Amino acid sequence: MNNKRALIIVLLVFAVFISLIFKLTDIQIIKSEELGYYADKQHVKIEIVKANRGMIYDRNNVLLVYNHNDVSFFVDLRMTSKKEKELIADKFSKVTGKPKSFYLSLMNKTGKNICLEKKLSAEKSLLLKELNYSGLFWNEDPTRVYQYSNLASHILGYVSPENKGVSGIDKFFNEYLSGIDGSRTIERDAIGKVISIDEENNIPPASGYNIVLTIDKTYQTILEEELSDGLKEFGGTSAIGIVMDPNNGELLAMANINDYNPNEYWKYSDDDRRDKAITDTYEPGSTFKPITLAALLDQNLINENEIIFCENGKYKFKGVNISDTHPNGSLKVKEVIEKSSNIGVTKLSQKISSVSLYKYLRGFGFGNVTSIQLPGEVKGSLKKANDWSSITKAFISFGYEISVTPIQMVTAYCALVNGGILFQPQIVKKIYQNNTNYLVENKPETIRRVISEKTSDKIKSILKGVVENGTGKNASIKQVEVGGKTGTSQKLIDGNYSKSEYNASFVGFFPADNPQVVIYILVNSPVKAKYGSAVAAPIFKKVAERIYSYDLKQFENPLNNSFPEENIRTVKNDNPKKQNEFTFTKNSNKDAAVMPDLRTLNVRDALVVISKIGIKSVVNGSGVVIRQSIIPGTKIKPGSVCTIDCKQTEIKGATVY
Amino acid sequence: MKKSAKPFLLFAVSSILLVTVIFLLAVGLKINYEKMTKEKDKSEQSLNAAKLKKIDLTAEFQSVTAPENIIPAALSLGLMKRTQSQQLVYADSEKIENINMILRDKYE
Repeated sequence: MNNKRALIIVLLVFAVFISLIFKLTDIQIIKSEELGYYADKQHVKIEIVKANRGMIYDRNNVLLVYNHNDVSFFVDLRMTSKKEKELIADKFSKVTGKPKSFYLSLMNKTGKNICLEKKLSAEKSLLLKELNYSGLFWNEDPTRVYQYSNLASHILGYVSPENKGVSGIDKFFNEYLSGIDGSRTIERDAIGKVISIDEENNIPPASGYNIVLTIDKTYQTILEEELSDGLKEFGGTSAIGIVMDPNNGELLAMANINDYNPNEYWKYSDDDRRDKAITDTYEPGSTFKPITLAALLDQNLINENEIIFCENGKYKFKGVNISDTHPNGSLKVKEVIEKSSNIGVTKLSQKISSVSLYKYLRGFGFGNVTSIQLPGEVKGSLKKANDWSSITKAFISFGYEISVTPIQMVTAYCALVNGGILFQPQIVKKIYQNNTNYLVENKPETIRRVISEKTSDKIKSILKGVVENGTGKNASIKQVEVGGKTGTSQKLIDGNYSKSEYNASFVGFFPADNPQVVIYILVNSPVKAKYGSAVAAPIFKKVAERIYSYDLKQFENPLNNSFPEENIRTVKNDNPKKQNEFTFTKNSNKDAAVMPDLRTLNVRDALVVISKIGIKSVVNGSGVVIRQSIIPGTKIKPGSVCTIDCKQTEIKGATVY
Repeated sequence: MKKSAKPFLLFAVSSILLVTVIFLLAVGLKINYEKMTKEKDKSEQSLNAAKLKKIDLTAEFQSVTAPENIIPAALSLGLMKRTQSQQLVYADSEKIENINMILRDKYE
């Protein structure tokens, strides 16, 4: 009997158990999709994990731009009780150091939502993210930090509130810098507390590439300080300065005054934010004379000892009056440049054909963009030889009827003094990923040989004479021999040459015999003086003295950067895509066998990288690499196989690859 | 019902117990896994914050030790940087040897 009763109880329990299994099957299998959908909708949230934007360094690895992963905290007052407000205020006060009453007064205001803390550091926000109150929520609010405020602002650029590059390097290399956001699937309870994190579906963010510039922060500081002082001393609307290494085209500094603070870019005008060194053109005036002379010397159309009669300062050429500031009689070719005689250069220029001169000017890069890796570069204006009037050649010979950008001028001067080779100006030295030694390297780009080495030597000697005996005396420095040329050009305002507004400029280089640095200075509409010799040359002198003093060893033991002739090739300069091309290079140091971060690369690039490392690969999917089996930064064992998972990645509505 | 139901009872109870234990173990493991995942996530966030702090401090250090900050301080202490190029002085080694000999003869 007992057994019978027990059997009934067991059967009952079994029946209950079986019914439970049936219910479980119903929930877990039959209705799982439907119920899962509703459950996920309530609890599961896909959070975007923002990728860290790449950092920007100067050539000596001085950090110029980095990020703060700040967090902003908000409170929904309707969902927060008085007791919770007390607790929130107490915790915030402890973390931030602000008085509790500050937070309480904020939360006692009327309204729906209030911002309790704006851009709190990642470190502090970690302590506050632990708080679980239904009315407290937070948003990631990253900040781009430009460590030296106004320094190199036109080069670095700035980012929009959405962290997208708007100008400068931040814009030009936005694709490299921004990285790819990741995502994680999080299950939360009713009050927002994390229940679980779905590891399987986690896509880690891929940080942006870091960029190392060719800029030297100290050179940049010197240039900006001296330009600013110069502008204060001489007056004027703006000043531009460029320092370039003539032996490889690397920009060492480039500055515009007025400048702006990229951390607070909205406080400045568009004019202040424009990089005038690449976007504004002007008629160069006398700084252009050595270019004309180089063409003549290179074609052996003149010799340096030739005597030119300079008409005592006034000359009527094809019905147009050409005058010199200081009247001169007969001058040698060298003296024509030293005294900066417009008449002398006009007469000399008649020895070369328009077509030939035009070819040289194009050779020096005028009338074309230099392809510097910065946005907004313009190509200036150089009329085709067929369109030249009877006086165009004469006017171009001393820097009128042609408009150039400062970057074109300094690039051309580099070719004048480095032995005759035109380099593409470089501003980016390398681009690399964090935690790996794999890098994308930007090498000096030789465009073409413009003049012979012999002609270059002659020009260097003549320009040395300009500083020693001619109009550039104010640029000479005690420590080292300097060469250069002054320029003063009337500004074209409303179609007429102004008699009160000038561009005063000076382009110089040192050491004169083996130039390591070319410095360009331009002051726009100076007030206290108008000539390049009086305004720009003294600024050059101060910049050169300070740079020389700072980098003494560099100039005592200059590197032999000359390029073998066979490496020089002619490239078309008008392909904008070319500006953003890099060569993948494998580092040859002892840590070379380290797995690079392939995430963010498209499949094709990733396979190129993998094949260069010498390991095998298995590809799943197509599009952008989102996951790799060998963790970035780990040492690669011979014969390893790296599996890469790829996905068509969507970012803010736009499909990437 | 002549046959004893005890073995079946024992089997049924132990089966239920076994399933329950397995279920509890699975739940326990899942909870532990979720806890560890959350801890990992938290640690990753802390690590990321620490990395950013390191970058922040590096930038601060570089800024404080930049030449434009160091030079004025060094100058105020009277430390001057050489601004002239190195001068090479050439001397005849034989003459130096002769002078050395004269000095030795005189003072030894």
